[in-house]
Amino acid sequence: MSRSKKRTIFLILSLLIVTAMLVNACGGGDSEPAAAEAPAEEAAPAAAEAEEEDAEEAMAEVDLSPTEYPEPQLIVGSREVQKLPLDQILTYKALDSYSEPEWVSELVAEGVLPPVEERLPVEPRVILESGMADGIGVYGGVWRDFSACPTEGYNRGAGQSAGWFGIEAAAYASLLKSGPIYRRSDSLEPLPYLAKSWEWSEDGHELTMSIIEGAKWSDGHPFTTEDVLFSWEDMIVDPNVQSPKGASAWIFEDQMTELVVIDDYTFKFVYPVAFPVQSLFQMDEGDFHISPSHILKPLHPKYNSDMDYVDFEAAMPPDKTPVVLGEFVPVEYITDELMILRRNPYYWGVDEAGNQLPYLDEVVFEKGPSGVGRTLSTLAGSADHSNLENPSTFIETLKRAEEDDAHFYVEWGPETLGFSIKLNLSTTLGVKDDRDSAVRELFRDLRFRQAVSFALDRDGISQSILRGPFLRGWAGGLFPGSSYFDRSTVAYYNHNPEASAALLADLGFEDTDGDGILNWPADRLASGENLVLALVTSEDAEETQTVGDAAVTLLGDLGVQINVRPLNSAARREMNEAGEWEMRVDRDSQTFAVPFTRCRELAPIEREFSFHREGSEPRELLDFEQELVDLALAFCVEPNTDIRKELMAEYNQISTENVHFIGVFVGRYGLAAAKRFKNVPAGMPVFMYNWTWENVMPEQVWVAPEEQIDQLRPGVIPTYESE
Amino acid sequence: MIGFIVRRFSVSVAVVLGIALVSFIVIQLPPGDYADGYESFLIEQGGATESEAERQANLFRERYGLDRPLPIQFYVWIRDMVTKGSFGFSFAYKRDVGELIAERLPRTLLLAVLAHLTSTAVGIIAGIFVAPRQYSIADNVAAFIAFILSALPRFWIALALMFFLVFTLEQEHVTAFHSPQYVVVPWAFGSVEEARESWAKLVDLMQHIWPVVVIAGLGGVARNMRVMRGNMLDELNAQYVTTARSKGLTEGQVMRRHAVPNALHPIIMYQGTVLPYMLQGELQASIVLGLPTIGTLLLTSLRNEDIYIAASCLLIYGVLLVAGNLIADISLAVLDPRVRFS
Repeated sequence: MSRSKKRTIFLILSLLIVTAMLVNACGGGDSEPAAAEAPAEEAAPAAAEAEEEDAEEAMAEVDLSPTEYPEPQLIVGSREVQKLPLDQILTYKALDSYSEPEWVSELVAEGVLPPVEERLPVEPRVILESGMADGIGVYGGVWRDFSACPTEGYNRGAGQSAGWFGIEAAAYASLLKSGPIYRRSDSLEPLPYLAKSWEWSEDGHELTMSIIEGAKWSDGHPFTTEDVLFSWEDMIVDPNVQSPKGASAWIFEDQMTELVVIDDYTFKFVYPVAFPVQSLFQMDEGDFHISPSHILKPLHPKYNSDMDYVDFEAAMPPDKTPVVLGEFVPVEYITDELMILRRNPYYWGVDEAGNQLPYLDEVVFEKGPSGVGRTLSTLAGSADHSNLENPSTFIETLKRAEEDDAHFYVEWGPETLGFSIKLNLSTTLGVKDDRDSAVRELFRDLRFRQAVSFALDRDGISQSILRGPFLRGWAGGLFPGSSYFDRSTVAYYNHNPEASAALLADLGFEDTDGDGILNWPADRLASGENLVLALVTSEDAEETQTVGDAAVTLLGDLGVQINVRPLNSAARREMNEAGEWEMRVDRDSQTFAVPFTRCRELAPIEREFSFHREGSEPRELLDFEQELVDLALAFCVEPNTDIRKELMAEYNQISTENVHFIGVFVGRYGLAAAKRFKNVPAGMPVFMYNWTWENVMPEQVWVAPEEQIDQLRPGVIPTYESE
Repeated sequence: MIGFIVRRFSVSVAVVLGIALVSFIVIQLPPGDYADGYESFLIEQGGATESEAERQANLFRERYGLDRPLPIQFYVWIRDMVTKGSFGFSFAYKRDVGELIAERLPRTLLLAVLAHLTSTAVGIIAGIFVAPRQYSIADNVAAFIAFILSALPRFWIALALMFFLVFTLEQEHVTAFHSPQYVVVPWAFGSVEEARESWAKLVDLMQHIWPVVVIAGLGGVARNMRVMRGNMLDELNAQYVTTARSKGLTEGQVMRRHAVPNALHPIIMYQGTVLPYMLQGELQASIVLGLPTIGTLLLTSLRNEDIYIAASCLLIYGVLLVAGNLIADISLAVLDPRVRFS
């Protein structure tokens, strides 16, 4: 056959094929589908009924009841916290005699400092031996640590950061202290600190507080209610000052709390409501910062017309030794390299033997650009402490800790590191079309939330993030490590794909077009469309992305297509404010570990509630959400710890039964701390009410003389230029 | 000639202004601003309510001019730079950006120069060594190693080296220029004791910075080695070298007195424009190792949208690049009569 003939035959055949395809597509094939559709329409009610029956049968066959939430696995290195009543941890009383390190006595002899008795208050804060893990200590030694934040300055009351990572905890003092609450057996209230006692009036509207009498700032100036009043009126209440917690935390039912000074050592809060006991947590470290009135008042724009608020904020620069009340005083700072803190010779705490605290002479913070540097430095032996909060570093740290020559040990705290999936429960905010409405209605249906919960293979996800006993499934609700957690209240809808599929079928979802993805039922606004949902993860938390990937596979197997989008925190914030999200994976806040300090975040009380935010239209709370709101509000003002626990048990039951949000896994924060440190409380959590430095009570930490390492600035105390 | 220099200079100023504008715009492209990060921080770490954090963030924006339109922010930044010599204010450090950069610039340049010297010295020596041994095993092995070092990403080498330092050698203070005991020692040479301490501080410095110098330096060896090798081969085949050999000079003398000095010319010419590349070389290694150089400052400021630091760092890199080119152009114009000025 010649080439031209071949070409002709090929062209004819091609034409025939194309014509056949066109005919088939444009009309020729009409009759068959039409014929097929007609009986389908007629048979639709019957088929739907049959499907419903099938779904009901499937539902009846599948066990949809929650399973029992298991006990946690014990991890090597976890110890029980030794809980004690407050009066076995500390007290305030005068002792017969006081002592100090020898080198400080030499400074007293030289006339640089007044004698220790004159530097201490009338009744110092006494740390009791019964509350110490290793007993009364000896002087000397260094704590080497690491900070990955720039030091802006020391005007903390005006929002300046000293560099975090423990610097604030070492240098500043507050009225009360929340960090060590985990050690209390008698109550879940903050511990006294600068305020040594307080009393509610009978009607609960007044709280009278007594501050420690005769305590002094690190420059020797007396600390009085003048400082408390200045910190209140000119820092917290002044709207132009960027105080860490502004006035809004003190507004109850649209009325502002008042602070009234009674004398040099007594003042009272006057509240618009009765017994707002939750406000005790507004007086702790980081919230009610006590600023030195004698230093800052003359520089405050209200009293000095030459100053503006920007200048005022910078009034305690990082290169000048600040006047503080904490155990240690920053005496030297080299930008981005090093900060040296030395013992505060005016610190107002002692041990039972009368030794002025702290025991350690020096704290050194190396500076670096990233928090990982702290773990690396601890592994390499140049830092004495790291918080293990990133599961990806757990294994290497443990391996190093197990070596014979390791200078640090690792201890695991309670289970308070949780990740969960949230569904947007708002019916209006961020809703743009019918599909969005259908999605939000679906999220508000308990069956769908249960279906998602049943779909998650929590153990698989936990093991894919970190092999071993570090992580385990979590139902949502309170963290298992919370003091308020009661395992019997948990409704745990753990991995059960059959149950998940049955619930989706019961909701009417079916793969009608055979593409492997479920289609919306006819009676929903998104009728016929594929069930495709958007899930946002966080660029800043790697584990959220693993959860996102797992959700794609696990829900994908059930016919729910999940599109994952990682966003950075700024983009997530914008997205949350606009309400333009469907599902998201969160690393959860400490609200579920220490609910009382953040009780208004437990349920949609505030308009900005995390996953049911109110927009311009009123929010439609589901019945169980309203129950959670009522419980949380009652919890916020309940002074009795036992009743608070009962309220939280009820809260946890309603939250998990209704799958308020979908818990995925929970783990523990780990503490890596130098073996040479004594008096670190057993089982101390890295993060509970606060972080390590606040929890450990650094004034009581000591090091045996043979294990002490060289100080960078031996013999130095903070000094101040006389004005 | 003067007209040429003035023209080139004017163009350079315009280019620098363009770089400033583009850097400023690029930095603003990611969603949000520094105050957003501050707001998140207040909620997550400070325990503030969302409304309180939002109020504080807005106060922050108002106080530091972040609520103004972008063109105004840009104008104020350029105006203050020209009239007051101020590079702006860092939100994270609450300090003048110029001071921050001035603190880090000397050590950044130190690292860059050391890395550059390493790559040049090793490259030249290797080039001289392999040129007379063209296509030998030594030539091929040297080329293979140099290209591997050049091809491996520097951040990867830095990561591997850091792992080795921390886990195998257990070297302390990997993310610092000095061990803490030397940070507080001043550089002083007034007395024997001071000089001894300063020497110890220098040794400590070298113990800390060698990884960056090695990583950044060895990456550039391949280029210098190949250039030197090529030049050497050209020179060794030139007639004047044959003449030198025919005069009875030893091969060593021929190399030292004739071939090497002439082969070095292109490498020396290249030094004028090399500064920006040197800085880029140390950037990756310093970031991974966390050393406080301009590189890490730039990265953290880009992350938290501390815009004036980021824009100033980019501007400085831009100025160095433009200045290097300007100097090279002018030098070439002075030295090479073939360059036309119009």
